[in-house]
Amino acid sequence: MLNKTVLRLTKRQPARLRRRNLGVAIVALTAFGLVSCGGSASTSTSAGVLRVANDAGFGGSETMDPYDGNRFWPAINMVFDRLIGVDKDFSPIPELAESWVANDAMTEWTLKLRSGVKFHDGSDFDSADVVYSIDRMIDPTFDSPVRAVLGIIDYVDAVDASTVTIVLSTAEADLPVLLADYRALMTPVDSLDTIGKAPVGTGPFSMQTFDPEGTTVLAANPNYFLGKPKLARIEIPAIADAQAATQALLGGQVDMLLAVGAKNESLFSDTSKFTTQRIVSGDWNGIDFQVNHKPFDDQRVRKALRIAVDRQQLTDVVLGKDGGVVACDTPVWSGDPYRWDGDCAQDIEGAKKLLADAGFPDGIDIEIFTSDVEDNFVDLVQAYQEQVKAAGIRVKITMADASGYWDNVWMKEPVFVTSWGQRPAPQVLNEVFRSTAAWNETGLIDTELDGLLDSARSTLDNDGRAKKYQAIQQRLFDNSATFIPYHKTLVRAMSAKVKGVAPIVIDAVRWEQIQVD
Amino acid sequence: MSAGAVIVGGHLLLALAASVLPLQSVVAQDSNAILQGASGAHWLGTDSLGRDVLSRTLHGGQPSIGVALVAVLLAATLGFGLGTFAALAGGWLDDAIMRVVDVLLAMPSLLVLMLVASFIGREPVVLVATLALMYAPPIARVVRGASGNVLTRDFILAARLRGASRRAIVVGEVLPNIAEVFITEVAMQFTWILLAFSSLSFLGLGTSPPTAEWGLMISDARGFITVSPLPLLAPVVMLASLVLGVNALVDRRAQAELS
Repeated sequence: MLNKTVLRLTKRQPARLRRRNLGVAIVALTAFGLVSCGGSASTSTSAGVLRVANDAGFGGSETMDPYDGNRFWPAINMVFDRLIGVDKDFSPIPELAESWVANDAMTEWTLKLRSGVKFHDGSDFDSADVVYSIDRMIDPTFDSPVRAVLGIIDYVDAVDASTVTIVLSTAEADLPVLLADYRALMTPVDSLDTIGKAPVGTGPFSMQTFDPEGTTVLAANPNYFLGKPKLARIEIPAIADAQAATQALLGGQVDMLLAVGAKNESLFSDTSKFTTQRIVSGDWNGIDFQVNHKPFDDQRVRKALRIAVDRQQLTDVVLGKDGGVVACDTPVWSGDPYRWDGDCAQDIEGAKKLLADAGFPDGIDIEIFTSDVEDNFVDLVQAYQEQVKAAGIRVKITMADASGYWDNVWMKEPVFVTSWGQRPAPQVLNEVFRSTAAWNETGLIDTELDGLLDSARSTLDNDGRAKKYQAIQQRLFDNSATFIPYHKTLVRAMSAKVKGVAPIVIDAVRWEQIQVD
Repeated sequence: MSAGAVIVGGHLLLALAASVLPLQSVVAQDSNAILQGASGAHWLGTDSLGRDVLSRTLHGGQPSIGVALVAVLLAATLGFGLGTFAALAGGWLDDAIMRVVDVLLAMPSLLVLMLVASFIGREPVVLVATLALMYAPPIARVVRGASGNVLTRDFILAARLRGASRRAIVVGEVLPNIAEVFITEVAMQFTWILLAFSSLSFLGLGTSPPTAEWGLMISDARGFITVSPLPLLAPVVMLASLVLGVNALVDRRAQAELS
């Protein structure tokens, strides 16, 4: 945010009249100039070039290593491919693996790889690359966030050049869903030293210029195995502010925003210059209370902080009418077969009693860190502050710099706002709430929950597994330190010249099918 | 009464009266009235959280004007003290003080404020102190220049000969003779401080949400300017009119003095 606004106050001027003019100029800047801040991309749409904004949320420490926590998420799925992709309904479909089959115990999965696939440097993709990639994902010394999802993999065996067997330490009936994680991407053998800045993948686009704080440029891969991309290039300019990104789309500096707030939909839907898509998604925002800070180590306080909210009203205020679906602190979205729909109506008296029982009869004071890094972050905390007031929860809001928010605030401050993209239940529950997960944001150690997660994944009966995943979500509502009020209905906005973007979540978008007229 | 006086007086009156006027709450949100235009229920419409823009705009002057007033009074005191001290001291001490003032003048105030807010804190006392320190140097330079001329005059020599103390000379002789230029400079610095504080809030480093403050309101509303312009225009008009009002008041005063 700091890089987009320059309001330099000139020192004393020799004449009053000049001072007055400067004062007027500054006011004019405040009024009109600052509302349209953005990146440095060109302002005209070029055929064959798609420009998508990047929030620069890691403050320049982004890497193209897809297994690293600071992965440059806008580009990794353009450069690399997964073994298994996701369909429009988020069900697994072939990508680099053509087919897969499990043994009866669901402890060994054999995948047949697609033949004739080449990396951008011309080398062949084969089973050795799969073994190398998955070994890196589950390497305990590297501790990738993907390890929380695929840590059950014991080892991978290259049966032949186009066949691998994945051996698990426990049964997992949903392994294909887990392999469809957007970061479970295939990288070439021995690429560790170069992958961060000069990545080589099999994806529809190859890296031309990697500049996460400026403009990253990707060129089409004419040999892509799913067909030659319809675009010549994708440019990803850094715009570290959600509202500035909205203005950049309006001003023609970018061609597409993956999500604009529902409140801004009319900006784009009321004109023929843009097209919009509404996508009921599993993207969610949350407020995390780290349990290594008092009083969040007390389950009663944690629950009070969550039940004091009228979630429907909060969702309507933050996202606008029909802007999202209420969640009872579950990260599992409404379209997932394992979703638990509990009753989480606002309970002010219950919250007061829990706080009193925990030794806070006069309520508590908490400080929540938030930022402009994403559209709803500040609104969420303001709405939360207003809602929980009646329960004696007094919230102080502290604004943090948007640039570098994920490095400096997220998982660092005692209470902070978070954001997650849609993930299937087995993945998100393990990645965010398993005690040992790298991205266990609140640090809550819940061995009982870990046991339930182990039990659910090894239950081969579909109904039985669904019930166990629902029980896990019910436990989260009782014990969790993460307040999850809603899943968003995304509004994707793009220039009318952009074609071929299916109205589906970003993980399922086929970049090679997009074109700009 | 001049237009400037009416505008500035009106602003001060509204800022003082906002808390007692029958306005809606500045923080109450209404999910059924998000980004609505002007209506009987909300004369200036509502913002992105369904809050009443009129109430927030009128209350928004309190932190802005309050901080700017306190900071400019501190800056004026500091600047006047430093300027007259340098003028009275003369010689190398005068030169040394003015070079330090030059160095401070060369620093971009907003950048310094952002650094302070980021690394030291954004509590009102910290921001007021920093604003006072950053905006005292121009006052000191003007006071030094004006005092230098006055100090060479015969009535100062007469005061010295009759044994008047330095303080008596500064307060009794110098101040009345540089009052015009001093007040003008202080008024101008008030507008700069007002804009600097609002800019800081605009950048997310001044007041914190959900406080009603003009810079913060502009920041909140800028993303919705096309959907609903009133939440942005209302604080902009207030900020602009106050700055113009102070300028007009100062100009009017100077013209009256000249005539």
